[in-house]
Amino acid sequence: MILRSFCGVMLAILTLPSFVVVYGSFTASGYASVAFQHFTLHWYHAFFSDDQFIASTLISLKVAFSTAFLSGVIGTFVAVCIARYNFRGKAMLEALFTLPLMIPTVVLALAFLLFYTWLGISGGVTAIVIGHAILTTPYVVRLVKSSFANYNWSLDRAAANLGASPARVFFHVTGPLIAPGIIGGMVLSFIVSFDDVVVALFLSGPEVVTLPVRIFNYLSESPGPIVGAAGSALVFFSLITMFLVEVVVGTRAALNVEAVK
Amino acid sequence: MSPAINGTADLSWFGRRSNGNVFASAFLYGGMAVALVIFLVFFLAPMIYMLIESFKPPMMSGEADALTFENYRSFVTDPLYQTILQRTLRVAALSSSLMLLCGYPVAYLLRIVGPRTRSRLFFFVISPMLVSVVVRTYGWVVILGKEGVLNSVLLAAGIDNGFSRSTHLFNMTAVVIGVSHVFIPLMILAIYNSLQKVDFSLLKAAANLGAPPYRVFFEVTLPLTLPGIIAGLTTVFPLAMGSFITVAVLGGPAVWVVSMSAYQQATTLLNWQFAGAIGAALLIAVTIIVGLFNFVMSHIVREQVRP
Repeated sequence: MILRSFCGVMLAILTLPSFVVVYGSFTASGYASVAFQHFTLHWYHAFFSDDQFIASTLISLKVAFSTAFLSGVIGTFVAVCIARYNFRGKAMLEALFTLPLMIPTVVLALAFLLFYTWLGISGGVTAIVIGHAILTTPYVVRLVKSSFANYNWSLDRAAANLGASPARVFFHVTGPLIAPGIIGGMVLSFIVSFDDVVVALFLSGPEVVTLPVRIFNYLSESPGPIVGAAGSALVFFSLITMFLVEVVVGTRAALNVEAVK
Repeated sequence: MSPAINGTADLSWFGRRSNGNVFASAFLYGGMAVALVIFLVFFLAPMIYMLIESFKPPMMSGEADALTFENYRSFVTDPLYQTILQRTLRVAALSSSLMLLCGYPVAYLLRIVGPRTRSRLFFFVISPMLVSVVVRTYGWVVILGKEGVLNSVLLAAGIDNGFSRSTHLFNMTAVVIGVSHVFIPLMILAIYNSLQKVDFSLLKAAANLGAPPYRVFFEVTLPLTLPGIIAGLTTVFPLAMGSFITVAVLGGPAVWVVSMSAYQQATTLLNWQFAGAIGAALLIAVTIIVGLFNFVMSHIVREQVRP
């Protein structure tokens, strides 16, 4: 009983911060409080009529879609090769594709800033997409690899023996069977990229500011109620993405808990 | 030819037999090669570049490009950075401990409830991870601020004193709460994984043999889940040490940590060499601490396994 009430409180605290942001964004003052407040969409109106916020939202979407695509493709290739073949240096390759998860993000972001500036690509969408792809590819590799756990390779062989070309085998047999892993990995990449502040902050340029970075800048300079609406927009985008996944493949299949860790 | 027992065993012929399969492996290996090149150029090269930069003298010093330990020397000997490093370690240690204390019971509950309740609880545990750190941090600003939710609750409850009239932001407590909140799902998942492997009939056996609940916990459950605790701590500690956004917003200048110095040096002061040294030092500190912790804990685990 004590355990249950303690956990109830803990889970409530876990969701509380996101809740107060969303709740506050619908109130007249823009801040959550216990006093009764009228429901208003005023702050959303302010958000959608702010050119800078709209520009940042579009940039964020562009970055997140590109990241999901890039890391989805390269992560799948790596995972399929790891699952299918034995080759020299396989262990090292696997380590390389998990390493970004073990390095503090701020260190990665710093290294990206220094090197990408030296390359001359810092401050653009490309740099942020590549940086995010480094962060998210490990998730794709892990999720796709785990969808090979109970995979029956004789299906591929059967298709090949029946005369299917390698590309056809991949897109008609292997692909559909591991699709939940790929989609799960891409969705996770999308969310991680869309929510990331640190890498996007280090690599942002004067023209290229993602939505979370703009919120962060507001927070450290002039926190106002519009931030609540902007933050809620981030929450809603994540919820919509999760909902779409639920409809398409089922969250449990896509985001298996083991692999998220 | 022997029938395939599992996938990998029989794949050697699969790759070589017919021409089509040579193309198949060429296609897959080609894709992997592209991924590898991207990682080498945009991940490994930046890390190495940062390391090399950190051994160069600061650009504005105008000295030749000789390699030097100067950046590291000034980082380690400067009392300012010693304080900052200590503070960073304190933030990481305190929040890791808080995550362990608050996360363990939740993981335990996840283990003992039925599958339906479990998947619902999992939603609550995982869902915060899908919300941007910046939003969750802003949530804490709204809760802990001077006219925030906490104070308004206190005032509504008739508690009107200095505490409920002042801000709870910009101090160590706010930072530790915020950082713990960001990473605690990872801790819960790690402990849950090891609890899953625990045979609960052992706990019943201990209880039947007359052990009071606290003894069952401290002498059976806790030792058996030590691997999960280690995994959890070694996951969240580096993350907590490198956390930047949460600390910057909830702590401000009052809780200045290493990552904030790295950001300031790189973007405001444009001293890349020193920023690189700070980044590398942070990475080295994290690696040493996690390595030492793993070493010590694996000894403890082994001691326990031995009768």
